[in-house]
Amino acid sequence: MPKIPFHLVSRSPWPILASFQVFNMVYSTAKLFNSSSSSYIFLTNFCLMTLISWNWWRDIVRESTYEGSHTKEVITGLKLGMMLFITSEVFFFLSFFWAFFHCSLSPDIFIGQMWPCKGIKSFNPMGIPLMNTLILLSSGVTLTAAHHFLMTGKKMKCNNLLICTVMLGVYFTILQYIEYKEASFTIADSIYGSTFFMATGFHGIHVLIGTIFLFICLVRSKTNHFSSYHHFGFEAAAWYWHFVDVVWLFLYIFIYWLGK
Amino acid sequence: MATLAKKIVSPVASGARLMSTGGGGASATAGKHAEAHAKMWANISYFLVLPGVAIASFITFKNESAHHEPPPEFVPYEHMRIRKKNFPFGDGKRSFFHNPETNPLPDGYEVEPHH
Amino acid sequence: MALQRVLCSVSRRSFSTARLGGLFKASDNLPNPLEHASGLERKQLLAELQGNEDPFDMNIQKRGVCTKEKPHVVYSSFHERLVGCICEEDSENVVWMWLRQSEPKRCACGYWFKLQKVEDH
Repeated sequence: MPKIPFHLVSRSPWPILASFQVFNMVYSTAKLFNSSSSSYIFLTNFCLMTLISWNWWRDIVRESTYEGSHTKEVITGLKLGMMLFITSEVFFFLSFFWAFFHCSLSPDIFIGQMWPCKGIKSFNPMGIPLMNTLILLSSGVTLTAAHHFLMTGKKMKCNNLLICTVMLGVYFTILQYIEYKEASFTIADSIYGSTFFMATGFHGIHVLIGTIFLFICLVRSKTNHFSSYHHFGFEAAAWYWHFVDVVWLFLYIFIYWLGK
Repeated sequence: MATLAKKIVSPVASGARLMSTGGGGASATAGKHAEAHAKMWANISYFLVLPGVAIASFITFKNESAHHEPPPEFVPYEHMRIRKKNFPFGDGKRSFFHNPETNPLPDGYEVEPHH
Repeated sequence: MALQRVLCSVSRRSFSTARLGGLFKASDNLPNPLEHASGLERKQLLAELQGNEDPFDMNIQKRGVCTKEKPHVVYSSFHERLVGCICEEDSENVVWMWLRQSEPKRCACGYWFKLQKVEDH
């Protein structure tokens, strides 16, 4: 057996293609916001980004599940990587919370020296937002249960609970969409609207990403990719989902509730 | 001395072992114990959490479908309905989740609220 | 240790062993982790189950004779490997050196090391 437990990845085009594509995404997003031309180039680039990501992750699944290249040491590295990534996402949200606190703790005279700004009718925190909080907390419980069944080898029970988790995630997204549609203010309505929709909007995108990640785990679980001992993909999805849940709790408490 | 040395020089190997032992040990301390633990979580999920979500949904939708108060009167505040740059979709004048009844444009409501 | 416990708990359930043959049937239980693993990961698991806690020689090894005639053998799949010598028990730093094929090296403290290439199997 090779005398190193680490995985020296064989040559792959995806990292460099992904890095070029990230540049394309930034460029086309800037172009979308700043020029009057159509948004097709943005959509094309977005689809290309999805394709490249799909292929790269597919290769990782092949290397780990089928080729068996993911030894304990490799998984340690992956755990560190996932934790660092989630930490970077925490800092990403930190910036939006900073903006929110900067504007809300001492409101400018231009917006009426009050928070919410003059003319803004904020959401009732005891309505759908409270429902959403309950949904995400519940999905955390079902996900934990699914993980325990995975660790004890009960595939069917794990899959059922994983389906519940995914459905709760979708339910959250639907409710947030309804809230957005029914809102009495838009992103362009004062700094309140800006901070609100930037923070909750990016959170919604992360919920979508987390839901997709969990759905992929469901598909992999059904096709026997996981064993009760080795299922880091599932664990990474679970960590990400719990992070999304925690961000929502902060959003709910500070923006919906205390910011009312 | 050997165990102390393991920690200093080969942190990756021992760390990996510790991490994986921690992860596996937490679940499979003994088959029955882990299964009972999993069952507990399943019971909480199916009998507490999911019915709770169902009941809360029912209550929320009952409250939401109740009569809404009409949208506030339109006051052309300068800090609202900011349009320094057009939106990059459609005609550029409406936001992505625009609701004609509750979101006025810079010069007023598009549609008169009918409730 | 954890793996052994998991495998024991899996094999204790009699119906799991009966289903070993029907891996493609829809069963309620996940595949046996040892059977599920493949490649290098599987080799690592097998080595661990056989009692070899350090199949990749990453842990600290206790010195042998380490003279010029009988240097300490360091295994590698490649033609060179980084080796660190902890000269004394209380040394605060490690003396690192590259070991290459057929070129035994001597650390400043007087101990000799030699690289032994191991074929992948």
